[in-house]
Amino acid sequence: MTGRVYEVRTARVLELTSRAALGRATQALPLLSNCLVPRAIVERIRDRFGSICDSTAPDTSFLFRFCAIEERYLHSDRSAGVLYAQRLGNESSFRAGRSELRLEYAPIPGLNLARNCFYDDYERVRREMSSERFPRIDRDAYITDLARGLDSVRDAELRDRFRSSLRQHGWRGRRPAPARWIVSKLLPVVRGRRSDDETKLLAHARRHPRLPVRANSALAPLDPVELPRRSIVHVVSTATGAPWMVAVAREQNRLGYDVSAILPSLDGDIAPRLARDGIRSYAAPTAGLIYGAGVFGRLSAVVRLARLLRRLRPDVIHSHIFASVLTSRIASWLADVPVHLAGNVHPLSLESEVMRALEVGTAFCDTKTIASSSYTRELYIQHGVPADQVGLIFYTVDQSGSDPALVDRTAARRHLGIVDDAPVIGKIAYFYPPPKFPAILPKLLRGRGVKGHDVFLRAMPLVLESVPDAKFVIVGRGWGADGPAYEQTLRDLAITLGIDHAVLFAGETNDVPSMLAAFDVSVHCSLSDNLAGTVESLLMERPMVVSDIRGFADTIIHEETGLLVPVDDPAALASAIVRLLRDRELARRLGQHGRARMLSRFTLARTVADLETLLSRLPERASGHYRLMTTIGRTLAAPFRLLPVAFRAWRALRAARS
Amino acid sequence: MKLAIVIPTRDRAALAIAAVQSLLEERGAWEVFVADNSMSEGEVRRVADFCRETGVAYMRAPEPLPMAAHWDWALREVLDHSGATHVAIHYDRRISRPNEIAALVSIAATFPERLISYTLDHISNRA
Repeated sequence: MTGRVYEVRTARVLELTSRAALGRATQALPLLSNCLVPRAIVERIRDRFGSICDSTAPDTSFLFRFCAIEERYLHSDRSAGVLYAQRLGNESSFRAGRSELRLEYAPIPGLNLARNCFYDDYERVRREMSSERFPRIDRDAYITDLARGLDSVRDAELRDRFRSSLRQHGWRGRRPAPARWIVSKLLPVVRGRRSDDETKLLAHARRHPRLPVRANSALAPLDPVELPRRSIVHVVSTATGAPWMVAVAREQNRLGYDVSAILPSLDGDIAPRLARDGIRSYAAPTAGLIYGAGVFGRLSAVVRLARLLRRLRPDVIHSHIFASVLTSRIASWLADVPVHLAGNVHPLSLESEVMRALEVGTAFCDTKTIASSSYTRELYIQHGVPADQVGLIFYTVDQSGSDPALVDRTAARRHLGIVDDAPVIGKIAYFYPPPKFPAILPKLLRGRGVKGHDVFLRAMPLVLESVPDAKFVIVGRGWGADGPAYEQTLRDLAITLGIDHAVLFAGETNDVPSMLAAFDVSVHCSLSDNLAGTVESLLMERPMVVSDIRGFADTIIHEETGLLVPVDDPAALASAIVRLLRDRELARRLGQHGRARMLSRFTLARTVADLETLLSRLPERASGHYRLMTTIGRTLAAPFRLLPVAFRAWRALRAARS
Repeated sequence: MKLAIVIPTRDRAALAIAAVQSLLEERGAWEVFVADNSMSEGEVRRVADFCRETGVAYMRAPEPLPMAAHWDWALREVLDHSGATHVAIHYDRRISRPNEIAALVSIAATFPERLISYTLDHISNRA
């Protein structure tokens, strides 16, 4: 027992079983009572066989069903527990001839032995599967194996009957030699004494977790599996927010990865949130390639980040958000990082021609480029990133707190001063101000906030015409240096529209589920987006009205999980909101379907599992990387690789300006 | 990763209680379910009372079932009514070692799609 984990091929288990050659390796078999079984495997077995286990021995029934449908499993040779009171187990019933078992499939069906039950289950699944995975049982080896178990049958008459039965099937057993006869007489006495000491043995076993355990060499060759403790560094260009990144990092940390983060500053809320889980954060100009001062400042940012990466030597870099993705890509490439994952959180970097030139032009640095919506994935492929390089993994949040059954619907309303029966329409999003360089944006977005707050405000008077007592709640705060000013323009717009009595700017909240629970309708009228807050709203069963942008297509299916309205169309938005306020049955149905869809596909566990699957297919460890010569070579080659990209972006910018 | 540990038992309250107690010494991302297939009302009461006092989930099939059918029923119930990503069956005549379940859960969390089997020690008293 080494505490190691082995990968075992089920074909090998079946082959050894068919030759009756498992021997002591039986302790490494995936019996139902010594396994952790993923739900998906249980469901596959249930789908294939109609039940999880059957027969008198559910353990072995499960074993062969599992071997029938799965190629491999992992075996830990740590001893997790102690089985005692063997006299109460099924095997003892067999030995005493008490079992009611009727074997039907074993090569010798009438032999009521525990070992034969094992072969009975093998043969039963073999016949059900009609598969070459299950070799035919070697009859001679099988009979010899059964004969080995005869001595343990305590009932002499039963033992003789079994012996005779085996002889009829060709077994040439010998009479016991005198020494074996003496042992057979003494053994029950010795065992009886051990039985008396069972309490002591049990206490001893619990105190000494390393009882001698027999080697499972019969399963050789077992390929040892080193448990990975990959180091993952998340790189992000914000020091605040990014709950989806924080959620993934914390979950990976919990799963045993060595996780850290590189942020533009440690002053925001991300660093302390990560620190609570023991995740380290480092400060570096993660967005310096975009926001650095002048050419020197931008290059300097890349070099600083590359030096930090060479110092940390992580196995995986996972960057998020356009500015940090670009900076991190170049820095990782120069530093010779083994794996770089580029996470795209917003399709804007592919919708804007200028940004797209940079996004696609630097994607060669990625091991995998991860789209966070089907729409973004299509854009990447459409614009030339190889399809096999582009993965699709949704950004989600920890769904455990988003359960409408567990959240008090009235708490947020009380906090906001809204009466219980008032229709409430809400929107949760930061106030992202219009970007400083409108020329780089698609025309629709120039001079506009990407989240479409102005569209929502313009829809409010139209809603109030039909539902005069409606209340509108806008949750969020101004983002970045220009955010507060932009928020003020929205407040001014509310006054100009004459709806300031009905709209409430609630500020930022740390309790999104409670706030969502207060909404009768949740709105996301973004001008461009990827999923955004639709996942959280649907988890809370909120009926949604969203703009018909393709970034929402994975979560919002029209008339099934929400209502789609044309982009930048306040009248259509108002009409859909009123429809949901009036048709509460439709609203309830959309919310329920939405939550079911989110739980089936858009959970944090699924996101992390998808990342795990992705990582499992990529190179394991950092060894063989961070080569100085590679860094020098790439630094020399960088102008040739990157100047054409910069030129394409410049040309696109010039075209946009003209 | 959330593990549901199911302990099927039949008329062996003392063993089932010992099995659960050994699990309660360790806390982690798992929940324990006792699936009681007992026919003796005294045993049923004993296990049920213990589960209530310790906050362990207790289930009882509508009628006594054969062993395999009972395991199958218990697993279905747990999977249908809990958010478990993994399930495990523990014999009632098993004592779990401290910290070992956490170690296994850690392995399962690292390989969430793989079945993880492990070794059990046996105290041999086949009298």
